[in-house]
Amino acid sequence: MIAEAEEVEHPVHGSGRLVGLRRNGRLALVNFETLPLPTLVPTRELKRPGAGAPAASNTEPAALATQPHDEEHRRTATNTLQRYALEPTQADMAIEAMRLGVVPAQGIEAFTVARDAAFASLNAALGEASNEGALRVIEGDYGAGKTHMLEWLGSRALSENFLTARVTLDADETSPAHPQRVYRAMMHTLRYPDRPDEVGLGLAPLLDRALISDSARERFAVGERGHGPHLYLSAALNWLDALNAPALATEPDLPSWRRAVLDWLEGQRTRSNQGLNDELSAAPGHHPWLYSLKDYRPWARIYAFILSGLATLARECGYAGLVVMVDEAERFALLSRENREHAAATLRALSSAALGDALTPHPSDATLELGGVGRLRELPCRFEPASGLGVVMALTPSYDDDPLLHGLFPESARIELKRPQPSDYAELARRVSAFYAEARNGLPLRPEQVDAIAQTIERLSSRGTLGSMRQVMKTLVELLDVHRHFPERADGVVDNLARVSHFDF
Amino acid sequence: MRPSEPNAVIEDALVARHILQRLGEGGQPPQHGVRRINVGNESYLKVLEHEYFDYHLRFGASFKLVQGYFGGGKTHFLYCVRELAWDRGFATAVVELSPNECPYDDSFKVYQAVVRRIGQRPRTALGSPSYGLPDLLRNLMDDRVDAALQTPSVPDVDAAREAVLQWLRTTVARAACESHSYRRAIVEFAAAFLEGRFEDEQRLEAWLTGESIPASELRELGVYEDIGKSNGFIMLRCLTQMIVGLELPGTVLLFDEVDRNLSVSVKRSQIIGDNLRQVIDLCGRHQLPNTLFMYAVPPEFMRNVVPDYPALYQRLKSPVPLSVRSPQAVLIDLERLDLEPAELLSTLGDKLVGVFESARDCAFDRTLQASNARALANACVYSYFEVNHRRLFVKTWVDFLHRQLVDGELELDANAATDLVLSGYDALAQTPAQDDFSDF
Repeated sequence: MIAEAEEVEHPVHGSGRLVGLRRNGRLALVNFETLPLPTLVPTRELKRPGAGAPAASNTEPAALATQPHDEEHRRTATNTLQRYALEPTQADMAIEAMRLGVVPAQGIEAFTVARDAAFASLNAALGEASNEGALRVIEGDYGAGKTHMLEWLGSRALSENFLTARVTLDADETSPAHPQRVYRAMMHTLRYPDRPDEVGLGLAPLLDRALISDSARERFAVGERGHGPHLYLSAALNWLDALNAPALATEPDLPSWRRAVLDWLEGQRTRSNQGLNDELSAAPGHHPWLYSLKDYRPWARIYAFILSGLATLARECGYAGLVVMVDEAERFALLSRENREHAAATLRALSSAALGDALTPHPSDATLELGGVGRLRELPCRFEPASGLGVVMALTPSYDDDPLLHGLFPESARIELKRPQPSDYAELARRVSAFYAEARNGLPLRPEQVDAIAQTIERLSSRGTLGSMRQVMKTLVELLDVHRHFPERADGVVDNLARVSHFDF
Repeated sequence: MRPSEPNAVIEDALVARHILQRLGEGGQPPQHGVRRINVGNESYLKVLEHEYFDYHLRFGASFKLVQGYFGGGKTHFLYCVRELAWDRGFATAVVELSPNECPYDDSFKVYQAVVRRIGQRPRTALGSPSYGLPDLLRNLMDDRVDAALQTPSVPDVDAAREAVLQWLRTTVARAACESHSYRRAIVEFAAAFLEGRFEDEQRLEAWLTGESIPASELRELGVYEDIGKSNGFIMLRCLTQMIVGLELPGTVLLFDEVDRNLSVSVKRSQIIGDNLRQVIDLCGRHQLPNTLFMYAVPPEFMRNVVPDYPALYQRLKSPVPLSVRSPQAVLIDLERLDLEPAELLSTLGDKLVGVFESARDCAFDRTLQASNARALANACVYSYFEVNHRRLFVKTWVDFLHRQLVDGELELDANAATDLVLSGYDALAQTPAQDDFSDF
């Protein structure tokens, strides 16, 4: 394990001192003696002076500060952490997230209690997705744990060899009325099972892998004339394949051409497709036309078609498929009537991409038929024969206020989050206490204090004072903070809170 | 001040004069040296310093909502946090939000305000402030060139510039950033500055600061995106990502809601609430790398705006009574300070005596002045029950110290202190309207 400020050796640049790690430790910023400024190099290329093997890229967890008066509790906490393999900094980030009332992205399995029915449905969805496709809609009130379930599903899907993409909808940047913005955010958040800790990779790894996969090349007609079976993916793959030609190896514009094709397919703001085609025409050979990908509200069908194609491509490349997660929080209320129609159409297009003909008709389907000219008018929501696409949405539906939502999703796809039992919250309290101790390298909490906190949480939830998972998590962290900062007053606070709380008013 | 005095002494006196001028004129918090007169909120600052700046912000992000009445010390507190951030090299912006000029429901205007105000600690005490993203980048490039020149392998400035350009293209250009256009704009702006490509530098400066510029003028530089209302927050996120990409420790964004009545339409307040929820979620997910986001509001915000949005309310509400609220809680309540009002004011008075002595190169009888400060503090608290008495106290006390410098030291009894407070109140009432939001 290498650490900051440690001396390292690089085969090209020679000796240096590690400044820090980037990209989850895959890249190292090193102050080399031969270079005037710190430079990024792959961590795997570094060695300790005199060492034969490359240095490991992950940082070593800090040693646990043992509390001699409480070895047993320490061991319990440590076991909890070892089970979920969370480092102190990761634990600290998870605790801060809970302090803010936000679902932690770290150690999600450790914070998950009382969700067996929802898990069963989501696990089944993963099985369905890898075949004909799957749709699930997680419904629950604010703070019920919808985002938590998506976090869990994301981890689970990666472990099951799915690519995952996730978007949190908002009124402007990722408005559901603007399908291109939703799609672009999905491409930015794309994660790969073989590189689970890396974000921002986009489509490059998938497309690179597709170009060396015989079945993917055959399925998407790479190397053949014409548009191929998928108007967008076949074109992109053909272009990237052409740019890999040995004759272009020394072409100075090659990186920019390649980036331009990737940016276009990822929905990034880039040249117009006309400009892109003009620029790429300088490359030798005949290649397919790149069609436009615009920020038009009625184009949900086109983006759903691409997502469906990407899921199939992922299957052809040896992955289980693609799981797309859409997290909605107070969205429909912020949209105009017209935008609500387009937003419903976007959700509908995603559902259709997942289920195809199995989806029963809905008035919003009419909106899906708008937009596009020529070939683009003929594109369906789903690339056939489809496989590998799972769509999971988390909504706080207001069916009375939004008639548009009625019947938008099939009943069989809905998962309603039930409130956990008070005893579940008590279990959660014990786990969070263990993480809290780890986060700050050993908050000395006696087992009886942890029990008192857990019992208080259980009592508060029994009488309805704590009504949601978010409230429980915030309360827990706040109580633990009080133990940390005011240890002499903490027991009294817990005792008082067991009797009365601000939430009661 | 004598020219033969060491620079540190001269700087100390300059900062002290600046503090007195700001406090004496309108009871406003000073732009520099605010911690020299800071009293009563140390427990909050200590937690921010040790739990966040020294630890959590090295790898994560956090959000804090600062709550206080007008005159309750919100701006003063934000300035204290800014100094903590400056000490550690963070890029920092204090942004005043107002319904007309910079409403929080307009993410584009918020972005523009942040890039106008962001900066690092001035190089010298009271040195001309160097605010704004373009100057931040220019200063950073100059520093990089200077650092490269210290390396034995770099013979001259040209070689140093080349080394910095290489760093830009190989390291900064690979920073994780949501918008490729934004990353490209930062890298190309810095490169244009180093290479003396003045027109490119100007065009990219306009784009980075959110000015309107034809897209065709930037395409050749690899910038294809416009910054507007639909992506203001994305660009704000990209800014924090690139700050880390440029190897600064992180970003501190301090928003000061200066509207007294918070009377915004339902639609706008809904968007404000939702924007805040988004920021909290981004901080919770640590998608604003090494970033502290602080939003200062009057208590009416928590009472009248937040409860309408369950998603935001749940994130900000705490079950624990205020009396034992953890200093790490999301809500920092400036109505609950470390000292009682009279003790807070008299301690502040003692600190101001020291500042006055530095500024005026004089010496007071500290025991007598401590007694005077206590008398004036009591008079302020008993004759003026609003929290704004802090502003009244500092203005009156600074005036009284000036008077003693001319007339000699005086002993202040309770009656004289009350008279001083009343005359100070009249003086405060005549301060210009634009000082309404000034907050100590």
